[in-house]
Amino acid sequence: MNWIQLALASLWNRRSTVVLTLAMVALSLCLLLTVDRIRQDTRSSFANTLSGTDLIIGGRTGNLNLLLYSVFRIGNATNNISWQTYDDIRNNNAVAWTIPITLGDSHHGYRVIGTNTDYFEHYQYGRRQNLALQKGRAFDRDVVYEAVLGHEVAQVLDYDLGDEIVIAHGLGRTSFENHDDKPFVVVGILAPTGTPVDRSVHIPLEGYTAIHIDWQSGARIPGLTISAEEALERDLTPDSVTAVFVGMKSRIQTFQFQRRINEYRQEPLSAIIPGATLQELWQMIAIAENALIAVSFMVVVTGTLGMVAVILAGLNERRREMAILRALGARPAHILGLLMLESGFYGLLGLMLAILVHWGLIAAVGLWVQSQYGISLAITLPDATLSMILGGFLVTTFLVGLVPGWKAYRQSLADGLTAN
Amino acid sequence: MSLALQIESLKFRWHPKAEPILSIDALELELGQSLFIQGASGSGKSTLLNLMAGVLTPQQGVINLLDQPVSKWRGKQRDQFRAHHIGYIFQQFNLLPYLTVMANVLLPCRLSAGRKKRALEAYGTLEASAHHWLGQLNIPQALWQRPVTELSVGQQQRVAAARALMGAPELIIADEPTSALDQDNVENFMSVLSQQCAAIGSSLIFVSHDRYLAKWFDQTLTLGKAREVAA
Repeated sequence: MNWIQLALASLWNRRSTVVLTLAMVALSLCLLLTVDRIRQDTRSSFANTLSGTDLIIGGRTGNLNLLLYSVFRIGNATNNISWQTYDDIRNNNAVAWTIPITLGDSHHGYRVIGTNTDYFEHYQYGRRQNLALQKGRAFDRDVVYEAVLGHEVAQVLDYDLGDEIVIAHGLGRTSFENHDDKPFVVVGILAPTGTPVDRSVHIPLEGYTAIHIDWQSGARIPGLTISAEEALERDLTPDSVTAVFVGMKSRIQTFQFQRRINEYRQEPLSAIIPGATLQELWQMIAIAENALIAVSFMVVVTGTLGMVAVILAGLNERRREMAILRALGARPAHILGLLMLESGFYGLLGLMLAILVHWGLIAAVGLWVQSQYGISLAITLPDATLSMILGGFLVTTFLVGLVPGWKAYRQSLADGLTAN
Repeated sequence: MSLALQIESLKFRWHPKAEPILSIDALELELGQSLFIQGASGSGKSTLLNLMAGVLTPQQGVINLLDQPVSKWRGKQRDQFRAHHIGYIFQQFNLLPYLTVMANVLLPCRLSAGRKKRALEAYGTLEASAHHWLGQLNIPQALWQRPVTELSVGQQQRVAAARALMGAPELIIADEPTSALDQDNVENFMSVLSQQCAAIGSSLIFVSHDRYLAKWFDQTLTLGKAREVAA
């Protein structure tokens, strides 16, 4: 029986204390692992949501707000852009392409985006990937009542091509006002992207106009009913759009064009560069992130201190054990090593448990987080930086074993073989 | 003829300026002979035990064990010597509560290559050796694989004796091992222990305040006089 086996047998003898101590160490590490994972995956999923777009233009508002509602489907637009302005932007010589979007309605809590076929042509995410259709087709230029569903919408609500969907007025998950007189036919389902696109229902801008043709200020105009067919005979060109994604012919022109938009005379507008605004977002979030990480570190430190305290507290009861080992020829250094081994055991097993619990946690809530916040949490090993920190933690747990180890060393020298 | 124990002008004090707690001019014990050390509490019995076991070292004088100047050695060597050549029995609570009876008895052979070798030479396997000693000390076979916590105090002391005898160390040092036993158990324990020590030719050094036990031993040392003289 070597010292490791002896240490393990001794720990097994004290298993109720050991289990609680392990749980303390493991949970503290699990918190650190999970906070770091969420931090990393939030960043990457935000960064992967949009690419290739040089500018986003919307009604005059805060930069962050514009980015959040236009790209991440978080929050609401305060102002729209007139169709006239949109035309101006689209026809500008520096502009390569545009994607107009209109927001405001929803379907079972999923946001409905009015747009045109440019969306499927120019919208890019991740590393400049275009949207791909898993089934069906994009909507036709001339057909109004067609919808293309994000992957998750189709999955969760179990829609297939040809199904009819009714759009609810406003953004509430349970809306009392439905545009049930003008249903849309599902003509396409997008391949999964891991971005908010998965949670969007796309309809033509004309469709947005059509369902609101007999509405005013967010309510039906009493006594006025225009059927779906009748609506088609009217001019369905929208009065306004919520935001416009812009691709420049040359990226060099981006800043100049941004300034021109921000100084646009006819209408107060805001233009943002998505990457730059995302950086602003990070800077803001970094404060909270750092606070969370700092708290997690403090929890790990607390857990480690607690572990040392538990070992120290147990030493008095273990004087006999030490004296017996001494009588059998154990050197004081063995006693010291035994306690460092024990402390390191808590660290090592605690870490392994923490990783398992952390993975379990992500497996358990990952899908919910994905659907609720659009952040896909990965079940992976910690990255290089965190691995180094965890390695440092392991070394530390062995080293803090010196504290009880030293006490036991002194104790066993003083007690000799006569402790009772 | 070799000596198991030889003490010369030994003085031990806890503080440099304090009176010596222990003072022995000369003591010799031949290998195979047994020694009874008797003294009231506070007479320095425990200190002498720690000195003989090599856990403490004297400020003056020499302690030789098996003709080796153990008291002059470094701590590591003394610890090794103890593992190889000394079987130690405590007053009580001798056994690690988290190991079985067998695992407790096997411990000395796991910590000392020398004792392992001797056990193997004599009995073939370590298990056979452990079975031999448990049998000799009248531990029922049904208890061998049980946790030691299920044993009575008397049984625990006999298991401790079996452990001390494993690997036939030349010296068995016992620190009042009978103080927790009732009279019948004391007789039984003393006779088995003396017989077995004699059987392997080891020297038994036995400490007790109980004068009555002296009859089991070849030699007796009475402690306590040193301080009376000094006073």
